[in-house]
Amino acid sequence: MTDTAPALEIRDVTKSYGAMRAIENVNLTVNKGEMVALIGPSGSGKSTLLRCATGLVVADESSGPITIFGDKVQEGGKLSAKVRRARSRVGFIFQQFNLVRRISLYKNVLLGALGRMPTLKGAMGSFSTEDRRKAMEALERVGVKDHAGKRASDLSGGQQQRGAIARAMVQGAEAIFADEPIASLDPVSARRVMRLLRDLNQEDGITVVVTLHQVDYAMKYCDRAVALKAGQVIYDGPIGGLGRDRLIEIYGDEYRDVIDEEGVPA
Amino acid sequence: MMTRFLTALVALVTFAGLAAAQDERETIVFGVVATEQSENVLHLWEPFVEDMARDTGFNVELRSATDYAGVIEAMRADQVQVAWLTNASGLEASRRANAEVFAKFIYPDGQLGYRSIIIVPEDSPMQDIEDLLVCDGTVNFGLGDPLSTSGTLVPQAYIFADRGIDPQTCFNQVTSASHEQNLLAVANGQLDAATNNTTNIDRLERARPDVLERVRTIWRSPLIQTDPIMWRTDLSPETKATIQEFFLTYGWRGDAEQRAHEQAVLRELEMGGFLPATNEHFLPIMRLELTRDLAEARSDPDLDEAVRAERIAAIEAEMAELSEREHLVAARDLSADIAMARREMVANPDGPQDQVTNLVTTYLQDSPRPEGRAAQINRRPETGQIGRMMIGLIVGLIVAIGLFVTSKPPKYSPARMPSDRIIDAAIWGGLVGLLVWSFWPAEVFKLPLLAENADRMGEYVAGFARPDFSEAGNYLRQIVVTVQIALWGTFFAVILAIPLGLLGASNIAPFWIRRPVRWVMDGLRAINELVVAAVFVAAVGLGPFAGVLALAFHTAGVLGKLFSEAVEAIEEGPVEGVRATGAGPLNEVTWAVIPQVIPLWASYALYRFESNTRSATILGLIGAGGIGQVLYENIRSFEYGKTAVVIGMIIIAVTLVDMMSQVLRKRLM
Repeated sequence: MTDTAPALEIRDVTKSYGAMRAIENVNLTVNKGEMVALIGPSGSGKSTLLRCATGLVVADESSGPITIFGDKVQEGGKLSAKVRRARSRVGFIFQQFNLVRRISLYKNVLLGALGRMPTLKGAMGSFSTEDRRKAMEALERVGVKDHAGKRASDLSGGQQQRGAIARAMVQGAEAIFADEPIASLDPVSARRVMRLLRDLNQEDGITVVVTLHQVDYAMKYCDRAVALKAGQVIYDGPIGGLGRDRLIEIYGDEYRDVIDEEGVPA
Repeated sequence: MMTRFLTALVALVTFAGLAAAQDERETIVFGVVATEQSENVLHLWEPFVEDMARDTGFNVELRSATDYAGVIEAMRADQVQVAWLTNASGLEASRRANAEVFAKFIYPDGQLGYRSIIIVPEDSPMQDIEDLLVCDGTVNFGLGDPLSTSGTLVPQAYIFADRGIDPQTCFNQVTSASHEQNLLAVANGQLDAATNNTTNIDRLERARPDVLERVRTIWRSPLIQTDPIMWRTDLSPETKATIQEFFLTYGWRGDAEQRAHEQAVLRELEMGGFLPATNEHFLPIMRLELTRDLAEARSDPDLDEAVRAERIAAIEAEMAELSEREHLVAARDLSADIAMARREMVANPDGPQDQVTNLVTTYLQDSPRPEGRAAQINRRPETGQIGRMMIGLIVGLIVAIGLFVTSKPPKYSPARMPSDRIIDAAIWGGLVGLLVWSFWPAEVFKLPLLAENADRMGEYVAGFARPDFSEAGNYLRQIVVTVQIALWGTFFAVILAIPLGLLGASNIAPFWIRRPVRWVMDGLRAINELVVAAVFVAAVGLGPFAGVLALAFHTAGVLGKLFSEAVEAIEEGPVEGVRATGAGPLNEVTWAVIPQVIPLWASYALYRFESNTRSATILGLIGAGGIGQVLYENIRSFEYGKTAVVIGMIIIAVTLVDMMSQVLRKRLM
């Protein structure tokens, strides 16, 4: 089952914050090797959906199961006992990078190995030579090897985000879920991060699910788009299917002016 | 707003001061020394003092201090007029505090004195005093308060000085504590032997027979006179007469019912009545001191032979003079007469009951009482707790209403909500009300005394102007010990505070763990170090380690709370980042929480180290070692010159620690 299981499967998931439904009866299947963009206006539930997918947010009791490569994350409002195993197979990238600021970038990247280490060994910080090698390789691949010894807080946003991706690589992640990974970055860093994600997808076969609010980036780097509006999936198909009318439907009438001024993103 | 508030406060204090000054009645403060828990002794004396206030017409206040020096100092400064002291402290008071003996008490069974004893644990190999004095440096010995007659002076004169032994070199360690602490320490085997007295043992025979079973007496001193009751010599003759009449007749006057009541009060105090006495009362104790001095002069190896001979001659001359005075003890005759009359009253209840009263009256005829004293007496209206609360409430309300009315904003200024104005007025009014309510209980009406008696405090300052550096080397060692106590205390506290701080943080621990952990921290924080130390003294004995534990537990409560607050203020992002790799909760804490809080935690710990250095000084007061103990002992023995040096060195040491830790903390942040 594990071999054929989809990278991410979400069944009938709802998440409420008080009376507000952040996502409602969402169904989504992402197959291995796909590069999927989650798009939609602010507050449409993109982040909630992605955070539910790794169990950082626990969904409502009425929800169906969420699985990652066949390992259950949560169901019916309860985290599965296997959640840590499921999480260790996915690298999660945050808008604010979420590196530990006071320790070195290298240490941060090494933390990716915690998921497959015994708890006490992890707490003592006795990482294996193999993990240390992987960490340096990953840092080299994302292009921040020279900054390995610096504290995370001393690096730029782009460098930190690439460090976060290196952490996912040390983790041996088979998929990367990225929540607004470029929203806090300048255009050059943003482009680098997106290219890095696409390389990992195309060269290493890593499944990528990325929430974006820039439609042009989605169109440029992703194959498939899933659009959310008010917590519901209103489009799920090839990226090319996002025409003018569809985008206006997703982002609302106000978006008409944006398109008329800037043209439909190619 | 602030100006108005201050004006109101000044007016209030003036008003209250005037109200307090209206009590014309002469106030007599009766001071007692509490060698056991102060609270208990006070409680036992209360009915006696009530009777005294009623019968003498004075406004009698009861005061206690936990050591003799406190009462002597208060008496010297005329803050205490009549006091119950011990023989040794009484002699000290007669020399320094312008005090003289006018009575002494007797025991309920008519005994005229008590004995100093040496106790050892029940299972101790020591059988008699010679076993104690082998002086092989292995015995831990407990002396009493430095001014205690039976705890220190008598054993020193009769045991050590007599044989030319110095306790400091004879024993492994010599500590100084109250009779009760010494008894418990011996019973628990923390001390190998300690001094005590028969009165204290008799009292505990009823209260704690279990403790007494664990100790054995190996030495008893000759009889020591009972404690003296003293007054300041400058009381007016009529006041003295009234007081003396009250004491000497108490328990032996009036009808059967009154006598039963008064005897019951006395029995609680372990007393059977009072007999007249004068400063002659101190002749035996002076003889004790001279005996001790003589033995010291004879055995001191550092003395030049000529000086020795000279000193011995001087002491012997003093002793000869003392013998002369001993022949002149006249008051004893009256004592004997009264004692005999009382025995007669008990033996012959149907016979004449006015003999004691007659004897006392005759005795007092030597110092006749002028008329008119009763006219001075006017009862102070009893303002009870409720009355004070009402006054506080009314004053608070007046202030609040006044503030509300005057806080109306002037024209052309921003409007203020009436509710804001009400709340402001209520807060300030409430504060003033609370101050008024607390005015009498906190005795703030004594404020003028501070200016009146400034010259008396000057005597201390003058004493400090002659610093005595003779033991500065020892002080330095003790200061180092104090810092070492603070160091270990803080270290243990940090170890305890880390789990407490993490488990007490709302973003780490669920409610059902967090709540109890916070209770524990609140509890630790609420209890003062001194109290905690007293508890640990019972387990680990007197000395620095009790101080370490006291600091550790109290500080753990403080640091735990600060640590928790630091944890609650961390960024949640990095925690999620670590969690998303599949790491468990322990690793989330190790890698995402701890790195974020470490600088703040270290800074808090250093700050507590600073304040623990200060607290460790105070802990010396209860025998937890270090410089505090040295300070306290010097204050108790009126060594102003040495006290000045100790205080100066403490200030320098604490300042140095403060500066060091500030530099470190700056680097950490």
